[in-house]
Amino acid sequence: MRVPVAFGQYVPVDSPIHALDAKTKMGLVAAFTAGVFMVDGFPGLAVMALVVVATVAVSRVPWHIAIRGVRALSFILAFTLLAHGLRWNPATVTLVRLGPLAVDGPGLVTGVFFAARIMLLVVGTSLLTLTTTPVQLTDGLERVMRPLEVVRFPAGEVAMMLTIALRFIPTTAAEAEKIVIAQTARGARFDEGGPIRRARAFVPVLVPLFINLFRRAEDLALAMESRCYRGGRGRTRLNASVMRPADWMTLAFATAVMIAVGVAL
Amino acid sequence: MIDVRDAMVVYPGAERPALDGVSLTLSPGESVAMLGANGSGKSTLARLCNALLLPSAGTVSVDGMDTRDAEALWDVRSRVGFVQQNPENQIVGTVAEEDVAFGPENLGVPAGELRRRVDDALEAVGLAGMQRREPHLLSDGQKQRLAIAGALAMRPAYLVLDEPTAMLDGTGRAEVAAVLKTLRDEGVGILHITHQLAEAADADRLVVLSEGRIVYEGTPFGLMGEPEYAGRYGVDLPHMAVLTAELRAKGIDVPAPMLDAESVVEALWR
Ligand SMILES: Nc1ncnc2c1ncn2[C@@H]1O[C@H](COP(=O)(O)OP(=O)(O)O)[C@@H](O)[C@H]1O
Ligand SMILES: [Mg+2]
Repeated sequence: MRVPVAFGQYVPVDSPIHALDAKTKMGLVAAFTAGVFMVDGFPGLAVMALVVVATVAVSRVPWHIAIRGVRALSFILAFTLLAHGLRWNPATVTLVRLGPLAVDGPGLVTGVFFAARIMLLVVGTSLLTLTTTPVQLTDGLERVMRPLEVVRFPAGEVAMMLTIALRFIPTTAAEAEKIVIAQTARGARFDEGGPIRRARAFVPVLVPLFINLFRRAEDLALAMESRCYRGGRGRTRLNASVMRPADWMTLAFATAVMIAVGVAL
Repeated sequence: MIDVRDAMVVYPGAERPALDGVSLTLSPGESVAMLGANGSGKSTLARLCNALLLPSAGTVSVDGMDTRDAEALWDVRSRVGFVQQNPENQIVGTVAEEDVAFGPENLGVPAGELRRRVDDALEAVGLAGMQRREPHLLSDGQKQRLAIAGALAMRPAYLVLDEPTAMLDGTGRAEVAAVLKTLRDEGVGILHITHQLAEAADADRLVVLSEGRIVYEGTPFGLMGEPEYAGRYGVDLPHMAVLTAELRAKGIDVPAPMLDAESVVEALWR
């Protein structure tokens, strides 16, 4: 039985963006973020918006999914606009006045600028998780974090933890479903009452789930030790993610464009 | 050779030892089956074999390396593959090939050789072509064969399997049994812990544990001729073995002991 689990937000389509190495995409996100913060006017934002629109189009991620992050942030966006655009009892001339409350022209423009910047950042950076599988992300993250091992940051171990978590999400989801069915068969109701009562109904699900998880962890530790796991050191990888020439070229080109736009506009 | 000599294991806080002076050997190409009631010490003995556990007294050595020797630890563990009961809980990778690669990756095997080992191991357990399959989409029998492949990828000389079929259905059991038989023929030493004497019938040697001691060591058929003795130690005999033993006890002459109904019927007709 396959339990559909919506973890991550990966959109499984083929596109040139999907084909890029995870590390490349992390680099692109960094360059893009820097670029967006460097531009200080609407022409710059317009160019960045163009970049985002073009990238989404190339990635073949459906638009309604690409902008999902913006909707989640609508409150923050509205707050940004209002905080910049509204004035209380201003001394200077304003656009519109409603008693003591006034809409301030230049302030509103600043608000629009900041809100647009947030929107671009959200859509642009979310493309990383939309076009990269969690496993690729983890592997890329391990490589990117590796320099931190100099300061004793356990990059390999952290990546291994994430991988195991990913590996057991479907298993745990299937198990949770089994327990829910078992408890339902005994008369438990998960769809009645207010939020507190509903949350309480899940206690008899969570307890066996956690007990099983601990048992699992014990077995897994034995299995990993038996197979000579001794931390990230000296480990080789079957599918080491490699950056191909296309990755380097994309990264170099994008970084150059971002710097140019950031400095010029 | 895995050589367990007078091994004693006392768990912290336990009243009696989990293993009490057990000696056992396992050579490459040999298959040893181990039976015994719950709590008789089977898992404890299995864990001694690849240094997951060290004996409180006595010694355990693998190809001459003492398991207490910290320097030899990784050598010992790569020589002794270990497979557990629960097929779900020993799979580390998010897809089949990455799980199989886990052992040799830890050993630092370089990428080209890794690929070869992974493909060979999957082939050896009949999972060729399933490289990219996600573990939770495999049947239990397939998962358990994947776990065996994960051990094989370290190129072990021995496999220790702790009730590998206890959670499998008939098909899964047959699949695992077939794989183990091939491996034995290819020269891997196999210690197969099981609850079913029927599964032990093909073993070169059978060992029965009870309360931390070895109470029987001999051929599987030897034990089948002794149903009462077997019953005393929590070993379930196959139906036909019980039948032939009872027939013999009643003075009816059938060649003892037999596993399949057909040969029993044939013997009776004669
Ligand atoms: N980690 C442990 N700590 C304490 N006692 C244990 C532990 N593991 C097993 N035992 C005890 O050791 C004995 C043998 O257990 P085990 O080797 O698991 O037997 P089997 O695998 O034959 O069922 C049992 O009495 C069990 O309760
Ligand atoms: Mg056991």
